[in-house]
Amino acid sequence: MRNTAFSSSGIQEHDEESIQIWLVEQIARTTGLKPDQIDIAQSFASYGIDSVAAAGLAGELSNWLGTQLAPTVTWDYPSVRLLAQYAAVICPGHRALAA
Amino acid sequence: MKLPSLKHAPAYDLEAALGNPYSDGLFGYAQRTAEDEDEQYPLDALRWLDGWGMQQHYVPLALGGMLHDFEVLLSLVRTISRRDVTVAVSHAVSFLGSAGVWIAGSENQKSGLAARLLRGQRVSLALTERDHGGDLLSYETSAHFNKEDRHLLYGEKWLINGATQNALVSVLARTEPNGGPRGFSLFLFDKQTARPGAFDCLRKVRTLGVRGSDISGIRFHHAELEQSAMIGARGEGFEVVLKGLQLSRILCAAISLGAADAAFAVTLDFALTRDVYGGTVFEIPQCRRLLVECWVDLLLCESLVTAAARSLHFVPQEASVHSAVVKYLVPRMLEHTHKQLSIVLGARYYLRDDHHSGIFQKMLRDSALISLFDGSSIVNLYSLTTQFKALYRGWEHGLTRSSNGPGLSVCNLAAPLPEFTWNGLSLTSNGQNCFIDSLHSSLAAVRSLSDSCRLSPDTSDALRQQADFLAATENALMLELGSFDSSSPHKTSAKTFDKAGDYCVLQGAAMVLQMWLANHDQAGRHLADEHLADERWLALALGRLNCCLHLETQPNEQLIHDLGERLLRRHLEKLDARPENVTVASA
Repeated sequence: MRNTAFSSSGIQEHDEESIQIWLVEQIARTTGLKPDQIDIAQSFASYGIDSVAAAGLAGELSNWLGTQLAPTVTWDYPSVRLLAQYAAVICPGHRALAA
Repeated sequence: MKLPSLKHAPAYDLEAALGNPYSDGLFGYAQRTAEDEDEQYPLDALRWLDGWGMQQHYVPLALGGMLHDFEVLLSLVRTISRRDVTVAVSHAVSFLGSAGVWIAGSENQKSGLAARLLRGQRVSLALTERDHGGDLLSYETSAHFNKEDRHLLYGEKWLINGATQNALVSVLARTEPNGGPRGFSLFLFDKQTARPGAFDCLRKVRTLGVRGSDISGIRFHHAELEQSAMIGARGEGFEVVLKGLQLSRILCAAISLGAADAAFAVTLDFALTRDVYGGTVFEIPQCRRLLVECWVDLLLCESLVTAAARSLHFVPQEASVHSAVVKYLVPRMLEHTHKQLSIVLGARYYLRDDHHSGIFQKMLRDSALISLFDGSSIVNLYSLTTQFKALYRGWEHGLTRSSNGPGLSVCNLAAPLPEFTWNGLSLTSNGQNCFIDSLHSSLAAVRSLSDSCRLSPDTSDALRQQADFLAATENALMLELGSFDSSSPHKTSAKTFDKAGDYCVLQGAAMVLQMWLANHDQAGRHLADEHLADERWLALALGRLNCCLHLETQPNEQLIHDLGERLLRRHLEKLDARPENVTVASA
């Protein structure tokens, strides 16, 4: 279930799971695969998203989160799982997935 | 107020010092084409430029050089290119080779390289390999880290400008076996301190143009690199190279401009002095039109290069977009300009010894390099597609702006340039594009202008027509960009590449508009800037750009695909039918 809450200031917050879901949707749209066919541990490159396109994806994620991420964040955290973990932590008012 | 043209004093000085291009001097066209015929490396010309101090313009002011204003650097490179593109690429290669150090180097690396450049040494950038061109992450040249805190470099770089002649080479090498965007690092290789046998240089590659240049290569045999040779952090090489290319791609547009300047000058000279059918060539309406259009092309490309140079200072974080746009658009437009000029010049365009020593054909061949190297047209268009969605959002946000947009501030030639920040470059612009984001308000301003009663009806109509056409293109195109998802060149349709090309044209129009709007009140005091106060020029310039748009008459993509299959089948059938492929059994 998507877990997106609003903080008291009205800024939309995103947790790790909702970021994972969003990233999976992006890859699904780009590749034509179904979301349940996408392995969150596999690299973006393995889905045919090259490095320049991955920098563009980082920009889309920044825009969705409302937080500025470096364009190279998809290089340093090159899978859905790793990137969602990282992005959730630096998002304002983050809430990580329960252990 | 400092008038714009004074800024270009160094370029005027250089032009004067280079002497008369129609003379027998070192930088006269006779000498330039003679060296080209002999495929001679232009050592004398390069040394002369060193004596003049050109290399100081590749070294930042803070490090003892003179680089502080990209408009100045670009105007100087244009001036050299106007004499000889071979000389321009052979000398300015040091800007490309050193950019990575200014962007990511340590203070020691920066001061060390600065000192060597100022002493007259040159530095190349070694990226491509025989089997790998524009796909940087496919390179095989590698640097292994050994236990003595050193890297060992091995592999071969090919088609490298200055690889043999230059003392220093910046090399992009794989430092992780699996590669990827963090698997490459940038090293500064010093031939002078390398042990014997650590490297050898490859043979010069013969080319269509820039025949005298040193396009060769270098092979490394487990060459030792000290830790201090690595530029930036381990794994940062790909990122640093991409940022450096943002700067050099704008420089390439200036080289294109210089070559076209020369082609135009000799063609105009011919048109004004050659008699045909009882009048000059210029007096033939068709030739006059062709020349005027070429002149408009030159001036508008000059506006594009100037606006791009200024944008580096104001919005360096947008360089990924502006560099791709001008690198695609300027060489492409000017290739067409050369073609159009050749129609006017007639037979003499094809001769190697006639009409100012055959300089036209040399410029034609030389300038064909620009759209190809340092990131081909396809590479630049593809990089734009990866930012489409974000650029759409930035444009949409700009629609609600009621006042003058950021593009006008950048283009105002009287405004001083902010200091350029080397660490302000970014791999994406995060949706910002100061020119496109101001396009809507600029078009509104031009429509008001076209309603002004001081303009002739012809000028008013022409302006309004071009503005309306642009506005329609703007709306249709930007909406399409908003829904695009990119992944790789193989998965990007041909139509999408056309859209990217149209985006470049739209931005070109925005830049030209904003250069005009920002300066028309104060321009016209110097002959060189007259066009920036002339509405007729603006209307014609917008028209030239609009001609570059892809019209909706492109063939169906499925038909192209199907015909492609048929082409392949025929080709394979022909191969099978060759005598050497027919076996005894089937004969």
